[in-house]
Amino acid sequence: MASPSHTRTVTLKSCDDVEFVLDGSVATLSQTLVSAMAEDSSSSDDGTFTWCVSNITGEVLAKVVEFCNKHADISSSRGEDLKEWDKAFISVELDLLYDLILAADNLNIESLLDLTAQRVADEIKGKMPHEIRMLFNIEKDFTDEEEREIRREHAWAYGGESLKSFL
Amino acid sequence: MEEELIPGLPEDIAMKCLIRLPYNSHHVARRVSKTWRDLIDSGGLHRLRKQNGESRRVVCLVQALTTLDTAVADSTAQVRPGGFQPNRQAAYGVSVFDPVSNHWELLDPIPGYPHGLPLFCQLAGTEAKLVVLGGWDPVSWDPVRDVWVYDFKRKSWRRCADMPCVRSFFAVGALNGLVFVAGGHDERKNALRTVSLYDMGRDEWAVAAEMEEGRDECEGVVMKGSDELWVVGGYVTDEQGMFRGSAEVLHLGTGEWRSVDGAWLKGRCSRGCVGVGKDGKLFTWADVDPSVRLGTCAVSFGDGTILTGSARPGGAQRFLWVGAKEGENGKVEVMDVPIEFSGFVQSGCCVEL
Repeated sequence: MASPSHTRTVTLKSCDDVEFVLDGSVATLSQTLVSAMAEDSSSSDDGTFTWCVSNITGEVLAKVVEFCNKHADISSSRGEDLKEWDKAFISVELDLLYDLILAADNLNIESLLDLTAQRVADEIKGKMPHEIRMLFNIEKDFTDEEEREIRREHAWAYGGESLKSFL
Repeated sequence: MEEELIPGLPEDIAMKCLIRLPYNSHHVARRVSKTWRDLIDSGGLHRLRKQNGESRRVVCLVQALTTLDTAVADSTAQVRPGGFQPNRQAAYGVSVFDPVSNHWELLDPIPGYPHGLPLFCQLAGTEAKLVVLGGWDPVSWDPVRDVWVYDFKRKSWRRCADMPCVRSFFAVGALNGLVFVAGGHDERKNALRTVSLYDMGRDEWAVAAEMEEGRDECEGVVMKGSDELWVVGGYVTDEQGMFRGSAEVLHLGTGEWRSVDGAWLKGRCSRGCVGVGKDGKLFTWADVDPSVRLGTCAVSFGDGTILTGSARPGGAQRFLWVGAKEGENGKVEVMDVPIEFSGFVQSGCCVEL
């Protein structure tokens, strides 16, 4: 029976047959891999374990592995440096961001899920409704009447007299 | 058919993204689509944010408004033409401080009160909303029964059902969409024993069991752990200003009152300054730091307490941040407050958003 502590290396295989070899300790960032290793009895005696991810491409898996390697490396995983690294890491196009979220969910990597979900939220922040709809390809499903109602609320909320003007 | 929250992402993952959207973006997000609006307006997003530790506690204060002009005039004793006007009664507004972003903002004025909030109105926060109750009309000084609710996700005020009776200088406490008002005094300055209960969801008032004694100028504290509302201190009609050392405690489950003698410091005003120590005992924030000993107002928000007041009559307002870990013995730091938010603080509350 393989277990995270006994497994020296883990080989991850993408859906397009790209292989990545991870240190056993790096693989423990993924709860999916931890469970799979714990349940697996067929892994070889030499402490290697192979896991195929059927719906993640090599390109995306490469990013996931890069993330795990960085975050498992305790000497570099501290405070501000790591924050900066994360920020640069997650500066990707929306398509890749979605792929990373889905991969983080599939492999159950909590820190990557946090980072990617926060990045999506950050994209919404500071944008106007039509910009948000355009970015995320969301259909505007308000009727004309509802749209008018929302605009009225909006005008009331922002058009009110400001106390500052009395001082 | 229900539209997807974010096309291309499964619902649970889209939700993980949306709960991380800060509260001050919700008023824009609810205009994106019907599904987003329903999620936000139903309170569902707020509940999920609370469950996942993503919600934020902000401090709302009834504060005398100052502008750069008046603040500069105050400090240099020079009156600018068209700017500072001496002897002018202060206008009050609601300022909101976000301890995480260290950001201050002034809420839009209440529609019925363009010249400032009712004087001595009370604040309560529950269900991601701010409730403003009672006070005196800022022009006529007549007591008002008004209740206004500020909805942070709409960024707007709504007038709600009036308080059932005139009540000034009363205690207030809120929990799970219910707001209690207790004590204070009526139009003839009789201390009140009566207690009213506002149900925000139904926009209705009900009468709760009365307290044993009238308590004018009392303070309300909700103990979340034990589901109790503590009405602390205050005085009866015949003993103006002689503050009691007792508290009356309403159990919110059973609706029954009990008295706790010696709960408070006899002779001391409890308005705005009741703290709850680690041992559950009450203390006054006014004694924590001499720089805020007068006109003390304390608002606790989970990670700490904002403490305001002055060292001497008419002295400048000081703003302190007390760390949460040790309660009243927490680390005290002087806050650097923007000049336009440095005015006198009358009362305050915390709202979880």
